[in-house]
Amino acid sequence: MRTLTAVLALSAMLMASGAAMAGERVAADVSCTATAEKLTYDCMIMLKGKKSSEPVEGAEVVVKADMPSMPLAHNVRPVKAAAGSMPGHYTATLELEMHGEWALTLDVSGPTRDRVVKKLHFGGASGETEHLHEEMKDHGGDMDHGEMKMEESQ
Amino acid sequence: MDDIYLIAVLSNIGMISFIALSAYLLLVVGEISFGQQAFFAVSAYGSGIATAMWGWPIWLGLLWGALVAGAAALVVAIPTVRLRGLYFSVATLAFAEMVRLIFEIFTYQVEIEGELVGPDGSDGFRDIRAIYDSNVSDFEYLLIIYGLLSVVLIGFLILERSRLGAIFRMIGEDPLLTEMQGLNVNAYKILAVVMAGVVAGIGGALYAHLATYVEPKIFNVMLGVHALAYGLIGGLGTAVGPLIGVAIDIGLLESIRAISGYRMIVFGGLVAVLLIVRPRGLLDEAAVHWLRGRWRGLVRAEN
Repeated sequence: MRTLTAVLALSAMLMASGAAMAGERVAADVSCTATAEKLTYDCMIMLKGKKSSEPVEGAEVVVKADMPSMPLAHNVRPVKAAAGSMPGHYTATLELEMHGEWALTLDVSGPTRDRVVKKLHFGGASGETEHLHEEMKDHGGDMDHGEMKMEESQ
Repeated sequence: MDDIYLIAVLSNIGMISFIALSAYLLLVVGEISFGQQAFFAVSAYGSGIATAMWGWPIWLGLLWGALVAGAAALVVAIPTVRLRGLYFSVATLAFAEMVRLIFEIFTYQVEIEGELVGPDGSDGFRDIRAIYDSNVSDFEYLLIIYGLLSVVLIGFLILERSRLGAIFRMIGEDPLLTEMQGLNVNAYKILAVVMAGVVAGIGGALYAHLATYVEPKIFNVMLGVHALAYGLIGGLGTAVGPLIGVAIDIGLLESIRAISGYRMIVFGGLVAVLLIVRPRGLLDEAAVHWLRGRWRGLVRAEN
């Protein structure tokens, strides 16, 4: 009972804590291509300041994936993205569990702190011709709603 | 990364436990609901609107979400209370689909710091950031989830030993005989549906604030079927049963990575087999009675 009281007290304290977000909101663009390995995708993430449009450099980006149509059912291991060759570019390899629409949550920390949710459709009947279409539903991003992007893998 | 992964899995187990307990309560009163995801959804949207758009503190947002879910459950309970069996199940499923489709077209947005915030139909509801902006870490949020889950579970365990709990089980066994005892079965069933709605609502509010993003697709029938299955797997003898069901599905099957992609198939098979060999789950009433007897025996031997 004492442990429970402590947990509840901590919960109440955490809930009462104030907002402390610093830095500019982040806009993200994500494009993924299928690799030779089944259900494995190489993703290119481009981050920039939402207002300044300056590339976000030196950030730590953790990518989590979840399927909206099967909530809480898939627990894909989060992946830390590596810095890419260009400023604001990051790369991550995702190992998904099935084709379909996935919501990628990008947790950005470092020079700025933000969380961006991107929805992508990972599909294709064969591993050779995986197609990916990204719906530009940008949580904190700068793309117009309804804009579509098609990308085809090797 | 392993820590983040473990916390995410445990958070998922905690949040889905609420909707599992919600479906369990209705199973106890003898009704199968395929629609508990509706209350999860109503609360996710309701609490999200309260914190992200109206600027309410998180604790008030969670409370509001649970209350709105309870109110929605009352709206469902009143017209459906006289329905039995399959008819009740179909009615709850229809209500849940109705709620999901309403959220597909529901748009209510306000501009906050230059950003449009709020539900935007099929595009979902983004920026439910009360927890995120408060710098609450995933681990700290995990403690909040399990703190609230502990309160709800203790409430269920107290309920099971109370007169109300006995009445609920009586209704589940035989509503006609219960009625003959002079009890108002319909009133008690309405109470059970509302309580179940509130419990699902707590889970929905917690989910929305952890994910920071919800959309109607999340609240499809799959979530409701899972909620129901957890009670049927874990057992209907005690509120711990559905939690065992959740732990088996998400915890055990997730830990066997080789089958993770096929988990839904394995899960479906498991439900089918258990319904045949143990229709009231692993921890059914007989198992709970036996365990309690053993426990009392051990305590007596100690003394």
